[in-house]
Amino acid sequence: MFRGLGKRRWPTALLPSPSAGCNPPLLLHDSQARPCALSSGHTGQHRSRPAFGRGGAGRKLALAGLLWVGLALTSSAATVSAQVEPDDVHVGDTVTFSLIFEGGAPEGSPGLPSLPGLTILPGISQRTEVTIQNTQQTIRYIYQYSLVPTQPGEITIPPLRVRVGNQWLTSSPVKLRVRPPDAEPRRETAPVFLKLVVAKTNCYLGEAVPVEMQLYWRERIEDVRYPQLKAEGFVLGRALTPSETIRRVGPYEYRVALFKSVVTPAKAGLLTLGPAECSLSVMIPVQTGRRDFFDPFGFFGPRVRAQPTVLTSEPVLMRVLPLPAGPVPPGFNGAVGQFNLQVSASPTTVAVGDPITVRVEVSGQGPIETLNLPSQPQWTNLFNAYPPTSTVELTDPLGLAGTKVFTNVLVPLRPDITALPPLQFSFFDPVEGRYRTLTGPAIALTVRPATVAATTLPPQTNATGSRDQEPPPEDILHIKSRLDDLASGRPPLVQRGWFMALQAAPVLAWASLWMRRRRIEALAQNPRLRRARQAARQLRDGLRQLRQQAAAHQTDAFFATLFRLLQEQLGALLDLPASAITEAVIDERLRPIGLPEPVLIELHALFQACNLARYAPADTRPDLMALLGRFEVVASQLQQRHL
Amino acid sequence: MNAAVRLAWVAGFLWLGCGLGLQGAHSDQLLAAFDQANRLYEQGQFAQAAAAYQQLIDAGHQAATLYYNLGNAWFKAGQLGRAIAAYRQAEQLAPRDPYIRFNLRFARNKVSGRPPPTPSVSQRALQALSLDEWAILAMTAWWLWLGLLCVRELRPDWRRALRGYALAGGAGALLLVLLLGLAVHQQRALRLAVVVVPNAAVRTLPWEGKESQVCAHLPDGAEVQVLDQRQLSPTERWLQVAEANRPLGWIRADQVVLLHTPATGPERRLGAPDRNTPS
Repeated sequence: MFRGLGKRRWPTALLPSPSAGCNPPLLLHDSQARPCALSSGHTGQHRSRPAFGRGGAGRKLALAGLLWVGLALTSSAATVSAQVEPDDVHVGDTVTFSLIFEGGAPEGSPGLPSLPGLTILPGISQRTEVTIQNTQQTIRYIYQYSLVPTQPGEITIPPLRVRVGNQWLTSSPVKLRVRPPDAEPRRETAPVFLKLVVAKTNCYLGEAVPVEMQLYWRERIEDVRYPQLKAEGFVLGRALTPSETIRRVGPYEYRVALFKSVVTPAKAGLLTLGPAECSLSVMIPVQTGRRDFFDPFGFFGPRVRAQPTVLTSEPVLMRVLPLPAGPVPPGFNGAVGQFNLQVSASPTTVAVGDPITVRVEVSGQGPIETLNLPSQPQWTNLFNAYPPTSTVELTDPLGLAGTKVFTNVLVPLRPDITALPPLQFSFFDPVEGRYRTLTGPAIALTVRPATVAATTLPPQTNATGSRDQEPPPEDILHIKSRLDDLASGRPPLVQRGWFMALQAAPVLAWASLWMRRRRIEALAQNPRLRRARQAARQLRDGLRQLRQQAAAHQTDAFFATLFRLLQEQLGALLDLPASAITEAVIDERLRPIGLPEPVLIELHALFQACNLARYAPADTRPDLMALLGRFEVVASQLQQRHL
Repeated sequence: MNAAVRLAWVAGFLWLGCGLGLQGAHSDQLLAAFDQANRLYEQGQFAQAAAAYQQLIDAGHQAATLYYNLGNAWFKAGQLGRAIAAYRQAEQLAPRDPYIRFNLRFARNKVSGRPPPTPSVSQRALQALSLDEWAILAMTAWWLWLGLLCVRELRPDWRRALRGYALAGGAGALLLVLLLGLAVHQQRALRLAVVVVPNAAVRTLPWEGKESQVCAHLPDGAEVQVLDQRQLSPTERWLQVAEANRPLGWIRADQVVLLHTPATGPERRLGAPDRNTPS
C-alpha cells in the first residue's frame, strides 16, 4: 500500500546534488545506533587488549620499553583528561567515559568510585596511542568505562585522582545530561515523526559533524519536501539524496528516509542544532459511512485525504569547543581533521625561470574540499610561487574523507637553489585534541642559470661577475631609443599580391622552357613536319625576295627564285627532293592527290613562264608583279594543303 | 618633340623629389614623435608615454621597437596585461629579439595565479621566425628549385647531372612552403587575447544574469585563446576563451586585448568591435 520513498517524486529544487553514491556508516548516539558506537569502541579495545590483558612476558617487556622511551622522550609533565561520549542521552542508554593520560601511565587500571545516578558496567577498555612526529613522540593511555544512567537530570562525574609515577593527577569534572526514558519513545510511536541525529555532540570549532534527519512513517505520506535544518551558528555542508530503510521502533515497523548532511560549527560554546522541519502530506483514511459507488467492495483500499503536515524534530544541544589557544603552528589556516601528506616535484633539473610542478597530496578525514594549502614562506625568496590549483577525490559522499591534490607551480629565481624547502601543513586534530604539523621531504633540485637572461641582459649588467652569481632580474630591460625596424604598417609578404604573383614567374618561365623543349623534341622526331615548317619559312623569305626582284625588274633572278620556290613547295608537299620537281609532277603526282584544277592550271602556267624565261628570254618585260600575285595565290593553296 | 621630352623629364624629377621630400619630412615627424614618447618614459610619465607609442601604432607604423617600448611603458604604469599584449605583438614582429623575450618572460612571471604559457615544440619552431622571414626563406628555396628546373630545360645535356639537385631542391622548397603554410595557419587559427583587468570574471554563458554563473576569475595578464565570440549589442561583446586548449567560459571583450597577428589583420583596440570574425 505504501509506495517506496525511493520511488517518490522528490521536489527537484530541494534535492541535493546527485553526488551521493553509497552512504557511509554513521556513528549514531541514539538508541538504534548505539550498538554501532559500542562496537566501534570495542574494536579499539580488541586491538589494544592483547598488549595489556592477555599479553605474554615479551609483550609486557616491549610495552615497558615503549613506556620508558615515551617517558624519556616526553619532556612535559603527565596530564589526565576525562570525557564522556555522548553527553546527552536518555535513561538506560550506554555512554562511554574515558580517562586519557598523556606523558605517563597510571599504576594499574584506575577504578571508578560509585557514581550517583550511574551504573558502571563491568570491564575496562584500555588502549595506547603512540604518535611520532618530527622526532617527538607522544604516548596516550586511554581507559574507557561503560556507564548506564539510571535517573534523568544533569549528572556530574566528579574529578578523579589518579597516581601516575610519583605524582597525583586530577581529572576535570564531566557533565552528562540524561533525559527521561519516556520522552522520546512516546514521540517515536507516532505514525509519522522526524528525528535529528548528530554523530557527536561534543566537537571542536571548525570540525565537520555528520547529521542525519530521519523521517519515520507507518502511514501513507505524499509530497515530502527535503527537511530544513535550523542551524544557527553552523555552516551547512552538502546534503545527500535520501536513502530509505526499514526499522522497528517498539511494536511498530517504520519505513525510514535518511537525509544525511554535514554541519560545521562556526562559533564556540553551547549551540542548538535544529530543529529540523519537514513538510509533507499524510494520507488519512476517511470514514464516510456509505459505500463508494466506484469501489463498493473496497478493492482499492479505503478512501483517504491528504493532510498537509509539518514535522518538527527535537533540537540537539551541541558543545562546541574552541581550538586551543596554546602554541598555534605558524602555518595553521583553520584545517580541522586528520590528514596525511605526500609531496613530489618534477622536473628537478631546470633553468632559472623554468616552472617546477610541485604535487602536494593531502588525504585523510575532514572537510577535504575546503582544505587550502597555507602559504610557504620558506619558498618566497627562492621561487616565484603561483596559487595552486587543486583536484579533489572524495571517498565519502558527505565530503568528509578523501584526497585533495594541490598542484603548485614554482619558478626558481636563483641558480644557487639546491633543494625545495620542505612543505609544511598544519591542522588541528580533533581526535587528539591538539595541533599537528606535517612536513614534506626536502626535494633536491638542480637549477641552471637562465640562458635567456644571460644572453639578453644589457652589457652593463652581465659584463661583470659570473653567471652563477648573477642576482635574479629585478626589473625589465630599458626601452630602445632607435627606431630601426619600421615597417609602416605593411601587411606580411604572404598577403601582398605582388609577392604572391611574383612567385608565378619562375613557374611560367619553367613551363615555357618545358614547352619549347617538347616542341624541339617533337620536330626532331617528325621530318615531314620539320620540312613543312622549313618550306613555309622559305616561302616567307622567297616572297619578300620576289617582291624586291619584281620591283627592281630583275627578270632572271625573279624567275630563278620563283622556280626554286615552286620546287621547294611542291617537294615539301610531295615529300620529294626539290631537285626532282619538274612540270611533269603536276600531272603525275599532284592531280592524283586531288589538287583543284585551277591550281594545277596555274602551276602549269608558272612552270611554263619560268621555263620560257630560262630557255627563251625575250626582250619584252613581263609583268612580274602579276606573276607574283598569281604565285602567292597558288602558294597559299599549297600551304593549306600542307596543313 | 625634344621640348616635350625635356618637360617630361623635369616633371618626373620634380615628382620624385617631392615624393622623397615628403617621405623625409614624414620620417622626421615620426622620429620626433618617437623621441617625444621616449622622453615621457624617461621622465616617469609612463601612461602618457604608452599613449604616445600607441598613437604611433594607430597611425599605421608597425615596428617591434614601438611595441617593445609600449610594453615597457604599460609595465611601468602597472598595466601588466597590456604590457604582455604589447610584448607579444613585438615578439611576432621580431621573434628572436632577446630584449623582447626577456621582458615578456619577466612580465609573465609577475602574473599571479597563472604559470607562464609553455608553447609546444612545433609552436616554438614555427614562432622562431617571423612570417616574412618564413616567406622569404620559402620563396628563395622555391626560386632556386625552379631555376634549377629551367637550367635543365635550357641545357638538356645537364639534365642527368642535375637530377639529384633538382629532387633535393624540390623537397626542400616544398617543405619550406609547407612550413610557411603552417606558420600562416597557426597565426590565423590561434587567436589570442590577454586579460587587462584584475580578476576578470569568466562566466558560463555570454551574458550577465542568473543563469550565467561565474566559473573562474582570470588575473591581469592571463593569456587565453579565443574560441568564439557573441556580439550582443554594438557595445557589448563576449568572447569564449580557453586556456591550454581547455575551454574556460565567456568573458567580456572589454576586459581583454585581442592580439593582432600579421596574418589576421590590424590590431583591434581594447573594446573595439571585431569585424573580421563572424558573429
